[in-house]
Formats: sequence, structure tokens, C-alpha cells
Amino acid sequence: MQPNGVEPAVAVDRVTKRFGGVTAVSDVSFTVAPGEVVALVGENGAGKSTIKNLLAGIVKPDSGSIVVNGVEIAGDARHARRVGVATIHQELSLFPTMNVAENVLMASLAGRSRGIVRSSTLYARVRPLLERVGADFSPAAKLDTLAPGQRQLVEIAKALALEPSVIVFDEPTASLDEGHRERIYAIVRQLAADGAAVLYVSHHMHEIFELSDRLVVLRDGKLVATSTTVLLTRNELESLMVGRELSGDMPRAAEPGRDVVLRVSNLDDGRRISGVSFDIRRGEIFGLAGLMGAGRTEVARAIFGVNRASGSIEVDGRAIHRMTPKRAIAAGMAFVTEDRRGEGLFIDRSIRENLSVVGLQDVRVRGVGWIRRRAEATTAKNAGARLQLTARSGLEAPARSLSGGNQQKVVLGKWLWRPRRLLIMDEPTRGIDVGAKAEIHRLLVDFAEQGIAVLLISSELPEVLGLAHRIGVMHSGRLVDILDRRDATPEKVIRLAAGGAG
Amino acid sequence: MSATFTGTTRRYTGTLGEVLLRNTVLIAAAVVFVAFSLASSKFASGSNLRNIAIQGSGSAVMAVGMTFVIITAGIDLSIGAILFLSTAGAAELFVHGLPVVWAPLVAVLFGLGLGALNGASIAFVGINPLIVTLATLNLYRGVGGHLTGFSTVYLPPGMTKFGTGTVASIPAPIVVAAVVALVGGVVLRRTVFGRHVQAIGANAEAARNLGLPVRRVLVGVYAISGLTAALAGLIENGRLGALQPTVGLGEELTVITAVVLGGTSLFGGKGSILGSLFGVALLQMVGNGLVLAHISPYVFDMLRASVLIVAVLIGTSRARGLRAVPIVRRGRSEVGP
Repeated sequence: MQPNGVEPAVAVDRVTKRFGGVTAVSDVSFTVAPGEVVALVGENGAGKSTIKNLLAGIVKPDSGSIVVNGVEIAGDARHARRVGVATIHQELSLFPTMNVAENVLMASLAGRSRGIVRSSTLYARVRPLLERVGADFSPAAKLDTLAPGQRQLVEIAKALALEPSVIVFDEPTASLDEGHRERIYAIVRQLAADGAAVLYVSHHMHEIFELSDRLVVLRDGKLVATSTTVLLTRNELESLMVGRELSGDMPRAAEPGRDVVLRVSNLDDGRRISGVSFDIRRGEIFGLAGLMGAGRTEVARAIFGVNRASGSIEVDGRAIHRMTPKRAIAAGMAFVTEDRRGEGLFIDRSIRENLSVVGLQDVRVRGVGWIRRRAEATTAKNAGARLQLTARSGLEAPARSLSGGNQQKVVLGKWLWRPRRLLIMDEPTRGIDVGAKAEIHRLLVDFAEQGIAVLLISSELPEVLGLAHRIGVMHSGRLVDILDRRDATPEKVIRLAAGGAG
Repeated sequence: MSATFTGTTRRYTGTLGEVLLRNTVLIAAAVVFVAFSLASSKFASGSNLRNIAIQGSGSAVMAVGMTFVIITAGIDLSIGAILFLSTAGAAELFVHGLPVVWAPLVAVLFGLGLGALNGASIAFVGINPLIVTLATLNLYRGVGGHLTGFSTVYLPPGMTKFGTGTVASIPAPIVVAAVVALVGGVVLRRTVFGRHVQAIGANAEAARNLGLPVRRVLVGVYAISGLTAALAGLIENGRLGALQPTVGLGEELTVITAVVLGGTSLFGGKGSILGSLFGVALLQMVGNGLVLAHISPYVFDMLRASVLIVAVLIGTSRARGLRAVPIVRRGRSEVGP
């Protein structure tokens, strides 16, 4: 519903975009008015990223038009920027070896002065922008010394530097914890109040309902609904996205067994974590909660032997000295990293190869090392079926072609060739849509019920509280308390995580 | 709940080992200098140091151009051939009546053009820089050989002043190298173009998404490399007073080694002109020391090869050190109550 008489800042008109044989966006039309926040929602692979890239001028529509402030955008990034579009990308598009000021102003360096750049001028221009996004790091700080949340703020400051009239946020809070999210919401509201048109791409139901005036819902590249946000309930929106009813409840795993699968005592990496001790039993989901930087990921990496740490790690009662990933795998561990694209996948290799990489010895001809292609393909196909993988271009397509949720299934699926004793999952549902999220939750519970011990790290409290049998809360590198799920409340966990007493 | 970051502006200095890693080339140059001075009284003499500086000037000039190229995560193997062909072309035109005062400028323009041709093939045709410049290494050397008939061509005195002249009693090669390094440093650090060079090397896709003029910058970078190769040609050929068909052969390897030694990452995104100059100085001192010690020049080739590997290894552990930083840093960015 448009306010009458206001020219839309963005008018997407019957746009279609195909990549190879796959239609990413099909005949989609919508508008965004100045001062309006429109949430673009849909499952992964629904076409949201393509819409974002079309608006940013990174890709060109096959048919239809995208008009911003009366000017058509046709696949030219610089042109899009000039007519006032700024995009905050989900995969951070920053320059890690350069400093904050250079990152923020890179696009507008050329606009102002051909020729000489003075660092002091850059800093002076960047300081108010950093203030506006609530960052207190210096404009001279090198980007690769910043934490992920801080980098996200740099990315936003970079967009603000363009003084845009249209801003596209793509999952800006995916790598942030609650406190930093609030800051982003405030920025979005301020931008809209100042008259910018905001297109907000998100999976978080909470923020969609809190922030947006209107919703544009996509499914399989098609527009399924546009609606004023207040007219929809959460459940209605979810069924629109998924195309079927979803139950809102988390699945619950049965009570765990008695035998301890993993026992960790006094884990200490000399830097980020110290004195961390806990155990996980057969069939138990052990949640690890805490704020960003509390040391949860470091615990996971130490247990799997990716990072060196002192202390003892026992699997099924057997101590393993000087843990390495190889030893961890031999002991029956599996590790699903938080950095899906960077560490979890061979992003340009085929889905089949990604699925088979851990289990290659099972499909090789012994002694020769020859891979039996058919056995490999069959097993990959079975794994895909078990994970309900949606690979529209087939298993030979590169992993890159999958949506985030399906990529995550592949990261998980590569471990399923052999029975596993312990599954470590670091932020398994980060940046994936509700449908895929529910499937990952279901898989987790299934694993637990098969007797696998699960270490679940998540920044989403409902996820940890809903799935885990027990919840360990970390603060500043220490495990401050372990709560039973019957006693754990969000308030209690947040208080402990922030360093307060339980 | 409002968020505040704390304590993140402090400069990360790291352990002693990391500090040493960052300044390897400086330390190595100092160690070599002291060791050679102790081993031979001739080494640290004024005339020998002056010789080292003059002999290293050509490589130093090319190292400036190469630093730009490598910061974009590219490589230029054709500089030795450009060094040869640019002088050969200018000399050929001189024979056909070009006034000698214009010959150096023409040589530099040839270098610029040959480099731009490399850049255009890389940026617009999209061929890998290693392949492009490997091909043009042969192409340019071949054309130059064709022009000179693979025999030594004596240069007119007007074309040798970059090699033999002096400016305020400082040898011209040293002056040229200093000016080029200074200009290069300012362009890299202080201009929009320089920042774009670094940005492209740091994250090419992000640079494209921002709408930076990626292709133009790449052409510019290889053109600069060609230009510096032509200047180095004027210096080195001028010094000899003649153009030999083998001039500059294999010199690209010395230059690349020096640049990598100087801390410029082969993966792009970071590097410094000053580091590259120290890299050249180090290699030049080692070569000179070997001559003074009457050791076979082929030992230098072997040394240069091992130095390249060691430099890349150091660069890799440097990168690893950098990756470790965010893990340390993550903890310092706590959420305030």
C-alpha cells in the first residue's frame, strides 16, 4: 500500500533473471517509497540475493526494469551508486589489508578529488559516520584487527558515506549478537525517518516485524505476496514463505543416556579460554551460550584440534593427547564450522565432491586409491536425500550454486558417511531461512536420538534453549555456569553471559 | 541494551617473533651489511657502496613498478624484455632520424605502451597475468632481437646520460631511482589511484561491486611497470653505452624476489615501496659480496632462488600471524551491560 501521491524511490517492474538454466527471479514487481522500510523475505534460494544484486547493478535483468529515483538501473554498479543506491552485503565486501577510513570511503575517493588523498582528511570525514553507527574503534584501525561485529559496522558506515536515498540491507545482523543488533535497528529507523527508502533482507522474524512497514514475500523466485506488515501474523508469513504450514515449536530430543562421550577438563589455549570443563553424554545436546567473543568457537576448535590448547580431552573414556583434526575424526568427532563458505566448503567444487571428501576411503579401490565414481555418486545422492537437499542444478553443480541453508546441509552431510560419536556444530543455522532452520533442528534431534553427543554453539537463544538438554554459559573465556534446561530462562542466560551472577 | 566496543584502537604489536617477521628484510639487510663489512675491508668502502647503489638502480626502479603489480595480486614477467625492446625501439628510430634528445622519452613511451598492452590483455581480455607476461616476455624479446639482429648496438651519447651522467655530482642512476621510488611511494600511499590498487588486491570482487574502475587501474599498473622497465633500460643500457641482446635477461626474477622479500604479498593487498628497495639492496649486496669473495656468479642464481622461497615462507607465516589477530581481538570487543 503506497502513500498516495508519493513517487516510489524504487520501482521493480516485472523483472526476470536467469543464471544458466536456473530462473532466479521470475516476473517480480514491487515498489519502495521514500521513508519506507520494506522487508524482503523468503527462504534461501527464493531470489532475495538476486533482487539485491539487481538493485546494486551487479547483475543485469533479462527482462523487466528497475527504476531508482526515475532512472533505470541496468547492471552497472557505478551507475546504481550514482543514482543513490547503497548496498550492505551479507558476505562482507571489505578490504581486509586496509584501514577503516579507506574501507568506508573507497567508493567516494574518486568522486571528490582526483589525485591526492590525505589520511587526516579521510579520518575527519569518517569520524562522524563511525559515530553514527556507534563504533568506537579508530578510523585508522586496520580492518583485519576488527571483530566480525565491528566489521559489519564498517560495512554500514561505508553505505552511509554514499549519502544514499535507497539502502539495501542484506542480513545485516547475521553475524551480530543481540546488543549490536539493536544498534542496527536504530540506524535503519533513523535512515527511514530521514526519508531514505530501505529494503531490508532478513530471516529473523523478530526484526522483520519490528522494523518493516511492508513485506515483499518471495518463493522460488516468484512474488507470492506483498502486504502491510501489521496485517500478517508470524505464522501466516512463515507459511507464505515456505508454502506449507510450519509448527512453531522446536523438536525435543529424548532424555540422554548415561555414558559420557566427551569429557573436557581445564581447557586453556593461553589466549581466549581458560579452565573450561564439561562433559557430554550419549544422545545429549549440550548448548554453549555466550556473547560474541566469549570463547565458544575457540572451545569447539580446541576440542576438534584445529587450535592447540592444554587440558585434557577424553572421548569414550580414552584421553587423546595433542588433539589434531585427524585424531578427532578417528575418534568419531565431526565439526561443522561457523565459517561455512571459508572453512566448511570447497565452494567451487561440485556438491558430490564436497559430500564425499571425508568418506573417500569408503569408495576407493583399496591399495590403488582409485575412486569408484559410481559408488561415490550413489553415496552422495543418498546423503543428499537424507538431508532433503534441494539442489536444483544437480549434484555436479558447484557448492556455490546452493542457497545458504542447502550449503549448510552439505557441510553437515559430509560427516555422515560413517557413524559419528560427537557432533560439534558452531552456529549451524546462521544466515539460513526458517524452513532450512527447522530441518537442521530436526536433523540435530535425530542425531541425538541415534545416540550421538552434540555440542551446539548458537547466538540464538531460542535455539539453544529449545534444543539443548543442558546449557553451558561462557563469559570472557570461562564457562561460568551449566544450567539444566528446566532451570534455564533467557533472562538467566543473558545475565550470566554478560558477567552477572546466576 | 546498548552496545559499546571497548579497547580496540590500540595498535597490535604482537610478540617479538611477529615483530621480527614484519621487519625481516630490514634485519637481513643490516646483518648482511655488517657481516660483509667485517669479512672484507673493501666492502664498506665508499666507492664499493657507490657501485652497489649504481648497479642496483635499474632493479630498484623496476621494483617500484613491480610492487604496484604484485599488490594487485598480479605479476609481470616481461620487464626484462621491455627493458631490452624499449631501448632497441628508440635506438632504431634514432637510426631513422629521430632527434637524440627525444630518444629517451620515446623509449619511456614504448615501455608505457608495452606495459599497457600487458594490462589490457589481462584486464579486458581476462587472461591470467602469469600467462600474458610469459607470452609477452618472449614476444618483446623476439621483436627486440629482430630489430637489433641479435647483435650489440652502440648507443649515441645522448641516449646514455641516464646511465653515465650526474646530477649535482650524484650519479644519474641513483637520482632516477630515488625520484621514481619517491613518486611511486606517494602515488601508492597518497592518491586515489594508489588506494584503488590496494583495494583491488585486497578484495577484487568487493572492488568491482563498489564500481571502482578495476580494469582501468589494472591497465595503469602494468603500464607503470612497463614504464619503470624502460627507465631501467635507459639506466642499464646507458651505463654500458651499448644495447646487448642479453640485457635484462632473467632480471625479472631478481626484481620479483626483491619485492617479495620486501614484504609485498603475492596474494595482493599489501606491500610497500620502501620494503622493495630494501629487498633490492639486500640482493645487490649479496651479489657484490660474492664477487668480492671471488665466488662463481652462478652461486648468486642459487642464492636468489633459495631467498625467493624463504621470502615466500616468511610472507606466509606473516599472513598466518595476521589471521591470528582477529581471534585475539574478538575477545576485546565485549558488549557493554
